[in-house]
Amino acid sequence: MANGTEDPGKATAPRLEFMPPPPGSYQLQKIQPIADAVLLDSTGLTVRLSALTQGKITLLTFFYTYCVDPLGCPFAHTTLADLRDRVAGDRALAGRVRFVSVSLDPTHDTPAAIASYGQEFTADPKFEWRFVTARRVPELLPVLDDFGQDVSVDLDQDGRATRTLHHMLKMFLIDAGGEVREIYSLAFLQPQVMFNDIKTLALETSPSSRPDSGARRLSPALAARSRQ
Amino acid sequence: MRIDRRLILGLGIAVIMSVAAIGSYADETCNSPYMSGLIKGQEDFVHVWTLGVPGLGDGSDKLVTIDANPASKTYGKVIHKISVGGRGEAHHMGFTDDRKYLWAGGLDDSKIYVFDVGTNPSHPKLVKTIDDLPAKTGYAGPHTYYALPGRMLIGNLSNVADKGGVTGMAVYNNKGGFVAKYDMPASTIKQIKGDGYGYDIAVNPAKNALLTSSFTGWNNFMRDLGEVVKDPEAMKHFGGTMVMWNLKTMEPEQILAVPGAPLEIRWALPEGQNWAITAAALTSARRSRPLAGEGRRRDRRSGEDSFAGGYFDHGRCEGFVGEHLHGRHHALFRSHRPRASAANLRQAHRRTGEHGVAELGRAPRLHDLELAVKVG
Repeated sequence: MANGTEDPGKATAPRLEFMPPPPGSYQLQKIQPIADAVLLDSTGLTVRLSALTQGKITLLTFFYTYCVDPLGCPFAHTTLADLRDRVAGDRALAGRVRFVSVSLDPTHDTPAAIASYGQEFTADPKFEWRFVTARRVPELLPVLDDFGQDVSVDLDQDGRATRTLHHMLKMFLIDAGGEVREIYSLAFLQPQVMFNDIKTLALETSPSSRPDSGARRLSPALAARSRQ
Repeated sequence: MRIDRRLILGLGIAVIMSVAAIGSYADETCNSPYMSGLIKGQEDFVHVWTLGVPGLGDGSDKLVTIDANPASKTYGKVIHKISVGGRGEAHHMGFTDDRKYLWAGGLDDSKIYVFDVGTNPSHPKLVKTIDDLPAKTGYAGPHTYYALPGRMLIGNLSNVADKGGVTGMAVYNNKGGFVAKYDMPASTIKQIKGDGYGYDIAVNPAKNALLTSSFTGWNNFMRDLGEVVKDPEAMKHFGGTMVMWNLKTMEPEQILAVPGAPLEIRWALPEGQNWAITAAALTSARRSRPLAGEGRRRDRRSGEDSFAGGYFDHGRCEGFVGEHLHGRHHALFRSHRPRASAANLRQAHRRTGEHGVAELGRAPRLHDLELAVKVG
């Protein structure tokens, strides 16, 4: 705090003080494609990132297993669990959505460690939620750079590394073609909005399954505004 | 002296600080309220986006870094500078969401420079020059750089077709790739006609709200201010609207008539707050009103004059805006210095686009905008 002013920088839980636009009533921006990489799944096998970001609508986030920030990784995974339940309850989305959690710490987050951590989230075999890590840090860094996911190790007063990885909580919504269509930082982790975004992407590729829950066609002006 | 005046103004409008040390929380200097790496404790460096001046150094716009650590031997001194190799009317800049890059633009040449200030804040590097804004969007005069997650929302002032004030917003991803464009509305929404002008941007994520303001185009902001104020035709071409957008759909939902070129915008972001504030350039009344009122509209004017009239000293504009309107100082707001407002800028030699909070030498007109109906 400075001069008794209120600190606007402290993280606070996201709030939803509006009615989210219905699915399909808007178009998500095409923000960026994703470069491929080789990662390690929770069984110890190598897996291409493209295999985890294409073919389905994907929500991808970064975490580390020993993160204890209540508004950090645990909050991200609680939000994702909420979304998993919403997706599981929507037949139009069956088999079309996956979640991917990528460890920020390949050194400590071994395949066994992420498998243990992910147990409570991957119990439903019908829902694909993948926990992955990397073989080594240099193989992870290009992935972080490509996504624009910052991470740094907090230092103690003596300049020694602590067990706290400082990173901006981000979640990436990726379409089935592998392009990032929305990015959620903490303030935007609003499950109802995110769910509508997932459904909006699903509607792009399956217009016949357009739901009746208030969805409407894009306005001509909105459609023309789209870059592609 | 023109050179000194322009340099001072340039320093005043484009200063951003970098932090290396970690300490207690302090004020955030950036527009976007939800980026990472918010300022904690003492800043170590000040980055200044400076206007190039013919005959001074290489004459180019520069990003200058000043040591701001009192314990340093070079405290208060310029320790680094990067010339961009030309003069483009350096103006604002803004951090990306991860606070590792600064985007700085030129109002005249519409170029945007991306500086890496995260790898080594004491020695920023120019890593990318974005020069396709006019070609991709038709817009000109990039003004406001507002960090969204993974991308930058850019508010512009003008367009390449007629260099007037009709413009829009552009979105680029953090790598500098163009994503989308959104025209400022010139149509009529709910009985109020838009002017299509642009200026500042402010987002309230809890309300899915994006608020924009309006200034003037290249034809005006690159002219000498003294000439503009004496040109009745030019004075007709200033914005008088603000627009409430649906942030998710990026569609304009409401146009607000806010006479007098509404400029900087700040939201009150704490829970329970339901208003935003702006300061207008050409008049000096204060107005408080809901953004989407039907029967709940309040419109309080505590003083107003026309730009052509004499100087109207609105004493209540002194001090912090938060104090003025709400009896408290809120960290989101910048102080409006009456000294700057009172300067007789009709005699000063500067371009209309060179400004501080108090535009055009007038006491700022403050608009307290409440969201009573839209989200209530």
